[in-house]
Formats: sequence, structure tokens, C-alpha cells
Amino acid sequence: MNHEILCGPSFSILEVTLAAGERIVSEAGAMAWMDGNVKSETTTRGGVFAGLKRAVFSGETFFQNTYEADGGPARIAFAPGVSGEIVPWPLQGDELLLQRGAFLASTEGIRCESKSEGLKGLFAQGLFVLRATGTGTMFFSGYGAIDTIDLDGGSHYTIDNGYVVAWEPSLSYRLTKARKIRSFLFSDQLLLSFSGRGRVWINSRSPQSLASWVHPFRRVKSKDSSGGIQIGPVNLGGE
Amino acid sequence: MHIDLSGGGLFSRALVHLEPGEKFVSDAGAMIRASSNIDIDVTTGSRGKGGILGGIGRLLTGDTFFLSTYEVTDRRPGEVGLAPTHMGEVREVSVSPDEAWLCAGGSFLGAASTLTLDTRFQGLRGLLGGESLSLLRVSGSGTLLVSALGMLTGMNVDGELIVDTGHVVAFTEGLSYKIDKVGGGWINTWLSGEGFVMRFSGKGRIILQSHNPTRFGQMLGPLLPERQA
Repeated sequence: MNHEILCGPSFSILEVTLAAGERIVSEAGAMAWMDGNVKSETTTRGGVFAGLKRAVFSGETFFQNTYEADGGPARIAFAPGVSGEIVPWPLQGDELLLQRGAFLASTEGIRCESKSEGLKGLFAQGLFVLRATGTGTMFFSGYGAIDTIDLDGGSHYTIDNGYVVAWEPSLSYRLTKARKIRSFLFSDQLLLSFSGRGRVWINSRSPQSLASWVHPFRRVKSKDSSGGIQIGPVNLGGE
Repeated sequence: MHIDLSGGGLFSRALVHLEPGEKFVSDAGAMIRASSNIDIDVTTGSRGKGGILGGIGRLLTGDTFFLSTYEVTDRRPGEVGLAPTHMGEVREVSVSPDEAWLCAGGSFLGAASTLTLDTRFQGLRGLLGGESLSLLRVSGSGTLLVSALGMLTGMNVDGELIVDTGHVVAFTEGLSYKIDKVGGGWINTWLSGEGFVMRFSGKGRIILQSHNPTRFGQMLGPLLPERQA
């Protein structure tokens, strides 16, 4: 299998060339184009429960698609939902942890499952992250440019929870905050403090931040159209 | 202190390297990373100006009013990474004591603490058509970081320049300006779809952004479900 990142770095797309019989797995919806001899199969990979966990908890799709080059080599391209960089990363029996939504595609020997991070996580988009394990190459993406931060086991490093894309499991992290408590009261920024030896990938833009910025531009619901919660004929308030 | 800007045009971010004793200030939401020896303090204004109440005033105008101050806590150098919300460029502006800059609130990313930021300097708000403009006065000596929706372009003004308020990023204080409408009359202005413009005159430097965030927001907002008031 050969891969090439096209249209990068700002609008990266992953194009893979499969030898006959080779397979690649992606999130449902990520396939952008492919040759006519690619056979696709949609499964929950790991069973219904694994699919459900991925979908409900980790923001990935319930189904994952497996693509196979049938009868000869074939090209297939995958595009992330946001514009930005794609990172190829090899796994050799080890694992990688990914922020919700960062997974794009992987070779067949890699499994993705949802992992609860409990309350220590508090990632911008939930308490669950994705854990990729196995042997092969995986591809993940982020909004904007992706930078790497290598920790040498000495001092820790602080990262805004909305910008973490992926990190190696050799690292541990905890939720932290700016020194003064008032910052915590007024600002919705949560910071993660990483420590240990390993690598963290961060992206340079946040979909969350863009969504918050757009919010005030949304039309405001007019008073008479919002009826509050209605249970039978009783109106429990509203505006 | 030195700043690495990377990411070219579209996804620029700034990595600010601080030496012991140096401080940097940014819009509170802009920090994406910091080394462990950086102390982060979130306040409502640089050098105590504005205070909590002044800050709330700015919050109501729609700008983030919280400023974070970063300071190295030990004898080693430290670093802070900053990124704006929008796709676009980040640029350093070197401010010198002989001329202050006025920076549009939404374009301010950060500044060296050697600069004085006057958050109480009010621009205009509640203009017809939902446009508003809050200006931050930046004076002293040091580096100011500005960001854009899209690309930034700088030019010298000598004479008169008319700019849509949404494209103004920063300009030197020596330029005088007045808020004006494009067309002849009010009806003309309304029909033209052009918002308010700033009519600059005099001699100075101005930095503009290729895209107008308010227009972008006004395009996106109506495509989303209505929100509660």
C-alpha cells in the first residue's frame, strides 16, 4: 500500500494505492473518490456494541467502511470533514489515543475503540476518546495546521483541551487551570497538563471556537413560536 | 522575546518565546499551548485598567474582554502558543513609543506586556446594520500580534482612504477618521448593501484584512437553527 497526501497542508486529502486484495478501513463518509474496482463493505467492526460505543461516545461513525482492491490495484481517496493537515502514523502493536473525530483511516490491522477518560478527560467534546491499537498505519486529521510537541519526561506541558488531536499512551495528563480561580469562573477554557515521555499532536484551529463565534449571528427565536415544554395541555413555561 | 509565526496564510499561529522576566498578554481564548514554566493569569485588562466592570462593558459589545498574562516562573526560557479563531494570517506589528496604534477588538491576538492596552477606549457600537467597532489603543514599545479572517495587507495612507469598518485591523493613531456612509443619502447606503465606512485622512500606516468577519457571520448565522434569546 502506498499513500500520498494531496492538496496539503491546508486542504489535505489522503490518496491510497492498494495492491490487488489489499484493504483499508475508514470512517463512513470519508471516502471522496475511488477507482471502479474497489469493493466496499460496511460493518460495525468489532460488533454492534463496539460500533455503538464509537458512535455514541467518541463521535465517530457507528459503521466503518472497509475498502478492498478487487482483481487489480486501485486508488482510493479520503477527505476529513475539516480543512487542515493529515498525519500518517505507524503502529507496531502499540497504541495511540485520539480526540473525538480525529480518526480518518487505517490499514486493516488497526482497531479503534472508544475509551472512557472519566472526569479527568473533560475534552471539549466529551469524556471519551478513541484508542487505536494494532499493527499498521493510521491516518488522523485536525482543523488547521498540526504541530507536534515532544515531551522528554522532564517538565510537563499545558495544552488547551480543544486543540489536542492525538497523544501517545506513554503520556499522562490531568485537568488544570490558570492560577487564579476567577479565570476558571469566567472563561470556559480548560487546560490539560501533559507529562511523561512521548508526543502530543495539536491543531491550530478549533471548530468549537468557530461555532461559538458564529452563535451570536444566529437568528433569535421569536417569543410566540417557542412554547416551552408542553405536556398535554399544560404549558410548563417557556418565555 | 522572539515570536515564530508559522502556518503561512491560512492557519497561522504564533509561538511566543519568553525569557525570564518577560511577559506577554493575549486575548484569553487564544492560548493553545504553554510550557510548564509559564504562569497564566487571566484578568480583565492590562495593568488593571477597566477592572471587572469595564470588562463586562466590553463583553456586552461582543468582544472577549478577558486578557491572559503569561509570565515565566523560573530562570529558563518559556513558550506560549497563540491561535485566532478564524482561518487566516497572523502578523507582528512593531509598535514604537512615538506612535500608538488603534487595533480593532476582533483582530487583537496578543501583545508584549511592555505595551499599554487601553481597553476602555471605546469605538462605536450598535451601528445600524449590526455593525460595531471597538478599538483597542496600543501604546508604548513592543510587539503587537494581529490576526485576520483571510490575509492581511498593509498600506501607507497619505491623503484619504475609505475602508469598510469590517476590513480594518489596525492603524496608527496619527490618522484621523470619521465614520461615514458610502452613498449620498441614507437610502442609498441601505440599498448599496455597504455598511459603514471609515474615512481616514492624514498620514500614517494601516493594516487591512481581506475578508470581513461580520459579513461571514451574517452569511452563516441564518443557515443555523434559531437560538434562544
